[in-house]
Amino acid sequence: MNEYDVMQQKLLACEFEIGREIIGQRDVIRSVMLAILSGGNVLLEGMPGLGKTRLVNTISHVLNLSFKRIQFTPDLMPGDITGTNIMERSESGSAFRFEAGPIFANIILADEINRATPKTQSALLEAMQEHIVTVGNVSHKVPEPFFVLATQNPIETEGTYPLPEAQLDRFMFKIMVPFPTKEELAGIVGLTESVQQGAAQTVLNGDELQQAIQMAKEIKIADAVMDYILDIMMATHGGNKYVREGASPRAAQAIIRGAKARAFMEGRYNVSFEDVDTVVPAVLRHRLILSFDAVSDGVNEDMVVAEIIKNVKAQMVAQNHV
Amino acid sequence: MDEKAYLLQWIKKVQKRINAGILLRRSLEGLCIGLLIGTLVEVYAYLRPFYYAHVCSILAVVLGLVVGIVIGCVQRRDMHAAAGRIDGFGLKERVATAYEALDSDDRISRLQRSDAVQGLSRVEQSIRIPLQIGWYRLVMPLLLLALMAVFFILPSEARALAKEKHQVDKMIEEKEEEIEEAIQTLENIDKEELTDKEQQQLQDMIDSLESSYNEMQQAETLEDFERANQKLDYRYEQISEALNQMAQNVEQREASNPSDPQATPTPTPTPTPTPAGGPQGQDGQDGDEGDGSQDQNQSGQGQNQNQSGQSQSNATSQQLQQAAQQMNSHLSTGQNNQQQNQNGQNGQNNQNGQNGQNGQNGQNGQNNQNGQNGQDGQQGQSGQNGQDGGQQPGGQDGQQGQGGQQGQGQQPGGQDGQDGGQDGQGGQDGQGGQDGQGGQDGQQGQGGQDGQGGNGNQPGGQGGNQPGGQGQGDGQGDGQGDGNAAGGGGQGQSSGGNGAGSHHDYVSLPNADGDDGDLYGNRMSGEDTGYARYENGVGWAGNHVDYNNVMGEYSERAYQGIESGRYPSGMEDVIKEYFTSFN
Repeated sequence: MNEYDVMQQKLLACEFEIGREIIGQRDVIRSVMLAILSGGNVLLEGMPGLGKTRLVNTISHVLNLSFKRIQFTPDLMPGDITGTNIMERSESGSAFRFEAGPIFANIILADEINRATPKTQSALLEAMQEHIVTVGNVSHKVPEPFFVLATQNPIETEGTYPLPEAQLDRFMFKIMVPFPTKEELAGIVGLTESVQQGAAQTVLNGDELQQAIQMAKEIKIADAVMDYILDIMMATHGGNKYVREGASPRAAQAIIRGAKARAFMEGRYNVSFEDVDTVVPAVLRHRLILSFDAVSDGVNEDMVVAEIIKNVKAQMVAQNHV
Repeated sequence: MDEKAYLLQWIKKVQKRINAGILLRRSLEGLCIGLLIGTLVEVYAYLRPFYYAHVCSILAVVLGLVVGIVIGCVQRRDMHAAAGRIDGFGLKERVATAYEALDSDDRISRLQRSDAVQGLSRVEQSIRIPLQIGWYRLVMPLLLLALMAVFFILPSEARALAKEKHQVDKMIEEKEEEIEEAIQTLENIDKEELTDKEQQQLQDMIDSLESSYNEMQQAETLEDFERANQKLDYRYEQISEALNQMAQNVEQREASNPSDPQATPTPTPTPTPTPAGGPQGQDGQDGDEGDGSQDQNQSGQGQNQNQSGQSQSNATSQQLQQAAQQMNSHLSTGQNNQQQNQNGQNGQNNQNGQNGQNGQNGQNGQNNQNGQNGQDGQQGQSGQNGQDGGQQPGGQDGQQGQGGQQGQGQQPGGQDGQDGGQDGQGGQDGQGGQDGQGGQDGQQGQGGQDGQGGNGNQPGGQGGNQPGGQGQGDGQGDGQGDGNAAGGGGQGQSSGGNGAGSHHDYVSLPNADGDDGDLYGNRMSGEDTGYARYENGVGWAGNHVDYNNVMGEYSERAYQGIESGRYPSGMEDVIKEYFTSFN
């Protein structure tokens, strides 16, 4: 067993441990793991009480990473996130000292991110993309690995500030957290209301996780698969009446990284079409800007993405089938 | 086995299989399309005339197959595609990725290759690449082939029409080439030695041939072609005779005044009989001698030699004669048969010996054609010879006397002309003597009259050619015309032409030269009209009179002649019978 296999087994073990705390939601767990393995940020969308915060908390525990939660409210200021310079008096005199905000942790849970003002939301931009926080004239590196896991509520949109497109693009995945099934709900209730709490074990540490991220980047991708990804990307930019604006190149990078991560977690050394199909919805659903036709026809992003995948696949099959 | 080699082996194996399937499918599809087109072509040819239907349908099938094969080759899949196809067996792009990284030797590539090989070895038993031909690709060609074969062999009226039309087109094409060649020959004739009138006549000939060319182009059915061809033959004959006469005139001018060929322009008597002149009188004697004895032939030869020397210097005359021969050679089969008959007659004449020697005279053999007419008139013997050579019935007729007339009327003119031609100019000269001889022959029988008929010269010969041994009627016409007077040759010709029977559809009224005072109809002012098709046939080059009218007029005149005693006694019944036969 080589180091890739060992790491892959550890990742599967992480997934297993997270599953011990989070009943059901296996796809959500897998998607979050893929985003973490790809070094990307995740936007979780779901109703309140579905275990989003618990999920993030569990992940940080299993991965042995520092974790901070920021509850976004309308009066939250950027400095409340990034930290601020405060004057500190000492015997030698007065001087400004940077008081780091909650963003300086490995995993940041930005709870109900859409409730903060755009100015505050934008405070996350630099950290999410560059892993740097600039306060005043000084830039501070955030600890690695660094992930932002944000949540937002699809209802109660009153008094919220939808995330700007630029910020949405920084989220690698947008993961929809579904309501659990009856069996899953029973498990959740049983787990949380019993005296004995589930205790997830720590499997990885930050260094191993970074090593795993590097390994995932090495995964091979065939030309045919790459063409498939590019075809999907191009399909978002034309020929679909429901799409007003297509995905950015960053989306293509996200697909490739996500597909590689999935291949790695699947124990393969190459990306398959299946890997691409798996990650494309999570990558594209928050990057597509739908047209009025889509709204009027009741078509959502997932339906558009599914249609795009279907068309591209049919086109590919037609080309290969002689 | 090495992992790379193992992968390549499998990829190549699958690639071959895929490409074989593509080639087969495309070939069958191409064949299907070709068969479909071929069937449609055959169906079309079944309903509408299309001669090249079989060729086109077979070509479509072959072309479809070839195109299918070519497309099959063009659509050949490469190794990438083959690797991707293998991945379709649950390998999740392992093989394709490994194939692309075959040359890479980094750690992840090696691991990936090993993973691909392991996966491939697990599923290799289940890898089956079907050719994907499909039953319809096999059944459709068979059905279409059967359908096409049915229409291929099914006889139809349209197919027969197409075949006929194709033959007609082919014949028309040949005729057009022939006409072009003839026109070229006429255009190449040196016109310096010709008078203006002769030049105009030559141009008329060319125009006439061009008219035939246009008629040939417009012919669409076999009937059209035959009509046009008959007209063309007639024109060949007319042109041939006119050229012969023209050559004779040129030679005569040269003989009379070698230094100034334009000094004594003799009108070229296309339809006009040549008047007997002084030199002809002499020649006539020569001709008589030629026919009479060996010595006379020798003397005739002597003159011929002299004339030969002259004609050698006269290239124009030779050109004209050669052109005339060419026109004769273009005559269609029926006419050629007549020529063969003539040749046969010549053979008979050659047995006479004297004519045989005349043949040696040679180069002026063309002259003979002019002279032939003279020889026609030379003697009843010639007529008899002609009949003998021409046809048995003719010969018999000759013995009966009237046959002599026929003989000359038919072809003796031509025949004797050749013989006489061999005699050379003597033949023509013989005209002068003919009359005399004809008298003798006439005493011996009607052949004598034929001899005179030969005097009718061109007309006689012409009439004789067309009839081609048609019967007594022809001979009579010629003989009588000639016998009456030299000028009567025009009548002799006309009646001879009419007497041909087989060409009675055409009634031509020459509008250029000749003594047409006896002709009816409105003459055009120096131009030929285009030809037009009438109910009773085709008329051309001049004014055209309805056949029934012409025959009515001729018969009326004939009956008037009988009443006025214009014809020799004993011929009345023959004339009546002749015209009655047309009713």
